[in-house]
Amino acid sequence: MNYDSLRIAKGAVVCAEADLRGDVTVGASTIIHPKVRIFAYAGPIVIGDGCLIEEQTVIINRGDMSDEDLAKFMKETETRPPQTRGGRNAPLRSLQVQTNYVCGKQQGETLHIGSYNVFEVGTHVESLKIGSNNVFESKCKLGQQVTVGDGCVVSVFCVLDKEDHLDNMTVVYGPGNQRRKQQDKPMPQTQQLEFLAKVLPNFHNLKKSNVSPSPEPIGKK
Amino acid sequence: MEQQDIFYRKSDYIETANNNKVSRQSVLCGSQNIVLGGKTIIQNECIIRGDLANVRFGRQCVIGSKSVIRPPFKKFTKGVAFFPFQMGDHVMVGEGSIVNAASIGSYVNIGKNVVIGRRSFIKDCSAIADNSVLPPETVVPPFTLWAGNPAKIVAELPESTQDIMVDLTRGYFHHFVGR
Repeated sequence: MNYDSLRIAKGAVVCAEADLRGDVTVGASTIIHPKVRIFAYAGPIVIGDGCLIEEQTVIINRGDMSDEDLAKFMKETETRPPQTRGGRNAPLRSLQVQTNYVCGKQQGETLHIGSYNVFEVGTHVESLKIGSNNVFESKCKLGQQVTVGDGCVVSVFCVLDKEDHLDNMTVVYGPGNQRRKQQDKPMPQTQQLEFLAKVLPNFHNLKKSNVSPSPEPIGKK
Repeated sequence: MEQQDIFYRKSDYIETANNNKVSRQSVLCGSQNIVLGGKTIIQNECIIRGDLANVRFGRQCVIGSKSVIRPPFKKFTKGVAFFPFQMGDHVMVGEGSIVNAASIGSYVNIGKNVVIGRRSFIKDCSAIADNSVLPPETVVPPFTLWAGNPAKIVAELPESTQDIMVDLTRGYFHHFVGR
């Protein structure tokens, strides 16, 4: 497996137990919790600054991967080998599950995620274009054909899998994916990010950052 | 109805001195901050975030597979903090549930695929139905059943809820057999 293409900016906290594969770029002060899966399968993934990505989130640039293959791929990467004796985590390398799908081989479209987005526990994102200051609540799902503007909220359990565009400040909520506009952008979670950036390194092994912050914030177009 | 035995591979679970059974496939972050009361079962692929704040479980809880227990986040006028999380005795948490509550009482039954919002308080002897979404900062009073998205009270629970939950969790522990 090739980790050379993983770029993590200074100040980002990426837990070693997160599974990042292929050509992934992580912006400064972004926090990635353990058990997050980010797979740049069909093309690169660029994540901006100050994003908060909570556990069980899946971000995948799936390209033309079929639903069947995706389900198989998800299943293969879901579990990891049992921990070694004594409750300690197994060495980092053995956490990576072998799959039949190699990430980062194809040079498809890039999946862009802007800055200050919050991905709560268990979101599934395939959308290729996501703006900034969005909140994706637990267990929501964004398909590949969806593009998201700035300041949107996608509520718990909402599934958007058809071709769709969320204008700035759209809120998608409820069982019927109802929509409305909100007046203000969701607050950026800077305090939480700072807190996590302090606390997480005490408890987790981190993936090393290897890129100094660029003068232009990554992910902004 | 007699509960069927559920078998697990002995090598897949760690059994502690207090008879807690913790899957090796679960992720316990910050394990020094996690307290298990005894006879608690934590199934595979659970995530318990002891690194954010203290997490306490009572006795004979069952945490279903793929569920996430994380202490809730709260902003104050100055500073921010994660709330310590507490859970009473004889609590069932179903598969794939996300628990962001501040505290959960005893004899609580939480269904499968439930999302419990930030800083909710769930009192003793209550129940949350499968696939419901409890909004943030909800207080669930005792002896109520909540369901829906967003969850609302749909029924009251009988006075025997405590005994039912004790039987349920005890039975589950009893029938959770290693081989």
